[in-house]
Amino acid sequence: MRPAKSWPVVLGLISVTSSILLAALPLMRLVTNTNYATSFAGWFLGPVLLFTLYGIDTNMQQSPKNRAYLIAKPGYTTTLRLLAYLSIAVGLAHAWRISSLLSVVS
Amino acid sequence: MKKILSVIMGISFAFAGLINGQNVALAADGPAALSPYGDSTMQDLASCLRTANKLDVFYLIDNSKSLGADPKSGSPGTDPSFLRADIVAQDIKRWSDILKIQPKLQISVAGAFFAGSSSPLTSWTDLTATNAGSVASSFKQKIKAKALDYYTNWTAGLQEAYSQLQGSSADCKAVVWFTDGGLWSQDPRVKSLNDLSTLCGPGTSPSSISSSPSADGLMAKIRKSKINVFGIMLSPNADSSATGEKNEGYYKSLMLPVIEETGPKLQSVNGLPGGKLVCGELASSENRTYSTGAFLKAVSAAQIAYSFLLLNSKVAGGTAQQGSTTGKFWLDPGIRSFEVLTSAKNWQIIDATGKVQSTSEGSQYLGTTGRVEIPRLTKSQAWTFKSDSPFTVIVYPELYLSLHDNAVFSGRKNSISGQFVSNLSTGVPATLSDFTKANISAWVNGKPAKASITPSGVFQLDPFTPEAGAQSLAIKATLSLQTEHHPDLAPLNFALTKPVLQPQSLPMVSKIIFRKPLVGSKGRAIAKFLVSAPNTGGQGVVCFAQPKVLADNQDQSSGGATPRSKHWKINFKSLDKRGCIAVTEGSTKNLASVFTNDIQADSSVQLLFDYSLASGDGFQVSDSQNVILNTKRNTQGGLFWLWFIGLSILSILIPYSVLYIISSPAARIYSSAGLDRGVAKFTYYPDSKYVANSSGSSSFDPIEASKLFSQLSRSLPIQGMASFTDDDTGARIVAYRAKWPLNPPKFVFIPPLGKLGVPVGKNSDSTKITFENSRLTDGQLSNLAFVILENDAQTKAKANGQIAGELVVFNADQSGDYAGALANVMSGGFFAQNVDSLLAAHPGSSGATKGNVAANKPKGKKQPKSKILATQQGPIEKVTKDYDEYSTPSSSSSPGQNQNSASADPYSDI
Repeated sequence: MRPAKSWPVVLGLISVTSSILLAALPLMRLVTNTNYATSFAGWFLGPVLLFTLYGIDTNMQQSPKNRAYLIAKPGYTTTLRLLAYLSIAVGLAHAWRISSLLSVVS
Repeated sequence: MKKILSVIMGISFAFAGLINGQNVALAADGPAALSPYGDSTMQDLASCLRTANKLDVFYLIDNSKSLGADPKSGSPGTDPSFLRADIVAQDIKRWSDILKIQPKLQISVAGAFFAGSSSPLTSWTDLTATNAGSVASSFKQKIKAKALDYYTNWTAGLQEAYSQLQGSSADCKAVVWFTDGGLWSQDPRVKSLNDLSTLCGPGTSPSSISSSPSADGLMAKIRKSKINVFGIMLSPNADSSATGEKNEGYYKSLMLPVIEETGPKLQSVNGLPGGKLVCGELASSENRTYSTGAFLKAVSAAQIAYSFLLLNSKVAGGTAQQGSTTGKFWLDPGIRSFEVLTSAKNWQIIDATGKVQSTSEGSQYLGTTGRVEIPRLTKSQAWTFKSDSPFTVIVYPELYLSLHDNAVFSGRKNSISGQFVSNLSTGVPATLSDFTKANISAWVNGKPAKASITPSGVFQLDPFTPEAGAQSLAIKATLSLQTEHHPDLAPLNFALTKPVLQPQSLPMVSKIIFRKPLVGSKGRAIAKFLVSAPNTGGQGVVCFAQPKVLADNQDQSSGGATPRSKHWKINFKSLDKRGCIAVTEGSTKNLASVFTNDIQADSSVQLLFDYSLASGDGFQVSDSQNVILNTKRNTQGGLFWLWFIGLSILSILIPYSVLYIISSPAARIYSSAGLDRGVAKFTYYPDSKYVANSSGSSSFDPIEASKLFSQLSRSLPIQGMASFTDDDTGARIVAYRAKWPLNPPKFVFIPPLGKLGVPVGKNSDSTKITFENSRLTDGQLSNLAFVILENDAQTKAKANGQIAGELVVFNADQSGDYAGALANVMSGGFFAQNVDSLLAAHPGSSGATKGNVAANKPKGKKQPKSKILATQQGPIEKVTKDYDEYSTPSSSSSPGQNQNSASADPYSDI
C-alpha cells in the first residue's frame, strides 16, 4: 500500500497561487493595461487547471486499479475542491479583464 | 549607476543638522545647528538654483598660521593635515554631478586665500562633467602649497569675494568663507574692530558696538548684490585658540553677526566693548530685498566635511534623518536615492532583502557613502546601515523643475506652468502619486495664487491678470511632499520673475481646445484655434514647435500605462514648412492641429503647445499653452459579454472534457486473477430472516463448498469491460460513467429475463446497502454476489413461508476458503435486507398477473429514457438521468427494455 499521489494538490496550490499573483500584476501595474497574456495564463491556471486537477485526484483515488493499492488521502481531494472553488473567483476576475481588453476594436 | 556623487551645491562650509527647521544631530561630534536665518538662506539658494542658468561659487579660504602646527608654541594647529583641501576638492567634484541633472546650468568656481591680505587661489573656471576632477585637484594642490601667514583679515577676504562676484551675471552667487580665526587685521588687535565699520557700517569702534541697522558697509553691498555668504568658523577651542590669544573667543564671535546681520549680545571682556552687534539692514523676512547668509561653528575638521555634505544635500532637495541605533532606516515610495553621512571608516549598506548594496571598501568619498540610487518603490522598505558610528541618512525625492515658456501679457489672463521631472535631461515625468502628500502652493507678487498639480508633476497656476501698470511679476511656488516615514520632506521651492509684456504689437493665439476626444486607434482629434494679428505694428508671425506630450495619464485600473509616446502623429494645418503662420494687421486665421495614435487608451493626455510670437518689428517672445486631450478606447459592449460568457463557459467545458476522458477507465468492470465463480442453492425464510443452504444450514462444509466453485469459463480482458454477463444465469452488470465526471461511476445489475435478482454483495457493512455504493463501485467483479429468484417468489413465500433461490458468488480469494466466502454473504444482514426489498418491490402474483404495463400504454407515445432498476435495493431509482450509458447492453436484456417492462411490474408478463 502506498499513499495517494500528492502531485495534484501540490500542482493545484502552485497553480492557484500563480493565478492569484497573475491577477495582482495589473493592480500592481507590473503589466500594461493592454497586456492580456498574463490574464489568459491566470485564467487557465485558475479554474481550468484546478478543476482538472481536482478531477484527476478524485479519479485517481477512486480508480479500481489504484484503490487496492492506495492509502486514500481525502484531505488532498478536499483541498483541491476548495482551491477549485476559490479559483472560480480568480478566474472570473481574469475573464473580466480579458473580455474588457479584447472588446476593444479599432 | 548605483552611486552618483551628489548634487547641487558645492559651496559652502559647515552647516549643521538643521534641515527643515529641525535640529538633526549628525553624529556624536556633529556641528551645531543652523539658525532659522541660516536655514532660510539655504532654502533661498535651493530655490534660486531650481530656475537658474548660472551659478558662481567663490571659495574664500583662510591661510593663517593658526591652521598649522607651531613647534615653537606647541600649538597643534586647527587643521595641520590640510583636511580642508580634501573637503574643498570633494565639494567641487560633487558640483559636476548637478550638471548631469541640470544640463542647462553653468557652474563657475574661483577662490582666494586670506590672511593679512587676500591672494588669488584660482581664477574663474567653468565646471564640466569632465574637468571637475582636475579643477578639484588644482584647488587641493594650491591650498596645500599655500604658505601660512599672520592675521585673519576678514575684510580683505570679503572685499576680494565681493569684487569677484558683484559684476557677475549669474542667477545665483555664493561665497564659501572658511576661517579658523577671529577678526585680526592689525596690531594691536583691538584696532581690528575698526574693520566692523567697513563691514557693517559706521558706529562700531574699539570702544563701542553699534546696534543700529545700516544699509552701508561691505556686507550690505554683498547682500544687495544677491550674494549668499556661507561662513564656517573652525574653532576647536573658542576661548584659547591656537594663537594663544586670550580674547580669541570674542573676536571669533563677531563672525555670526557679520554673516547673519545680528547675533547674541557680545560680552565686554578685558576692556573690549560689549553690546548687540547689528551688521545689516535687519529687515524682516517679508520685506527683505537682499540675499542673506548662514553661519556655523565647527569644532573639528570632520565637522566641516559634514557641513559641506549637508549643505549640498539640502540644496539638492535632501531631507536629513538621524540614524537609529539599530542602523535601520526607511525608504518609502517617492524616495529615489539616499546617502548616509558618517565618520565611520568601515560600513555596509544592506537592502531590505539582506543584500549588501554598498561598502566602505574602495569608497572615494569623505564622510559620506555617496548617493545610492534606488529603483522606484511600491512599498516602504527597511534598509540597514551597518557601522560602529552614528550616522545621518539623507533621502532625496529626485524631483527637478522644468518650467514652460510662458509669456505674461498685461490686460490678459495669463498662466504659469511647468513640470516636475525625475530627470531634466530625459524629461521623465515625476510620479507624485508615490507620495502620501504632494501639494503645491503659489504666490504672485506676494499674494496667494491658486495652483494645481497632476500626479505626473505638471503644475499650473490658475489664470491671472497682472495688475495695471505692473512691469514684472514675482512668482513663487512650493511643492510640499510627504511619505510614510518621512513626513517632513524638504519642500521644493522655486521663484522666478516674469516681465509683463504689452500685447498690442504681438499676434495672439486663442485658447487651444479639443472639442472631442480621440477615440480608437484610427480616430482623430482636432484642436481648432485662432491666430490673431497684432493690433498695431502690421504683420505678426506665430511659429509653432511640435507639441509635446507632457503626461499620458492613462487609466491604470487594469494595468500600468501602455507606452505610446512614440506613436503620436501630430499635424498642423495652415502652417508653412517652418511651422509658422503670418497674420496681417486686422486679420485672423484659423488653425487646426490633428492628433492620432494607433495605441488606444482611456487617458487624459497633457500636451504642451510651444510657440513664438513675433511682431512686425522683429520683437519676439516665447509662449506656451497646456492643453488637455482626452483619449478613449473604442470598446464594444456586445463583444465584451461574448468574451466573458465564452470564457466562463470554457472554464467549465475544458475541465469537463478533460475529466470526461480521464474518468472513462473508472467506469469499467475488472476481473482479478484467479477469479472463481460459485453457485449455491439456498432457502430463505423471510419471517426469521434465516438463510439456509441445501443442507439446511447457514454454514458450509469446506469440501462441499469448494465443489460449488469453478473458474470462469472465459478469460476477461485486463483493461476491463463496459458490461459483464454471467453466462450461466444471464444476469448482467453494466458500468455507466457519470455525466458529471467528478461523480463515481455507477454499476447496474440486470437480472435474467423472467426472473428476479438482486446483488447482495459480500460486505456486511450495513451502511453500504445499495449496489452502487457497495464495493462493486470500484468495478471489481470479485466483490460481486447476487441472488436469482423465480418471478413468483413472493407468492411462494406467502404460501410456504420460504423462498428458494440461487446465490452466485465471485471469489478471488486465493486462500481457498470457499465456505467462508459463501457464509460471509449469506449470514450478512445485507443479504436479508436486499432480498426483502426485492420481494417488497415485486409483490407477487396479484400484481404480476396484471400483465405488462408497458404494453398497455398508448401506442406511439415515447417512453421515458430513464431506466428503472428492478433489482435495486430500496426505492426504485432512475439512473440514466445522471449517468450516461457507457455501453449498450444486448438487445434482449438492455436496461432500456427492463425500464419499459419494470415501470409498473417489469416481469409480470413472464
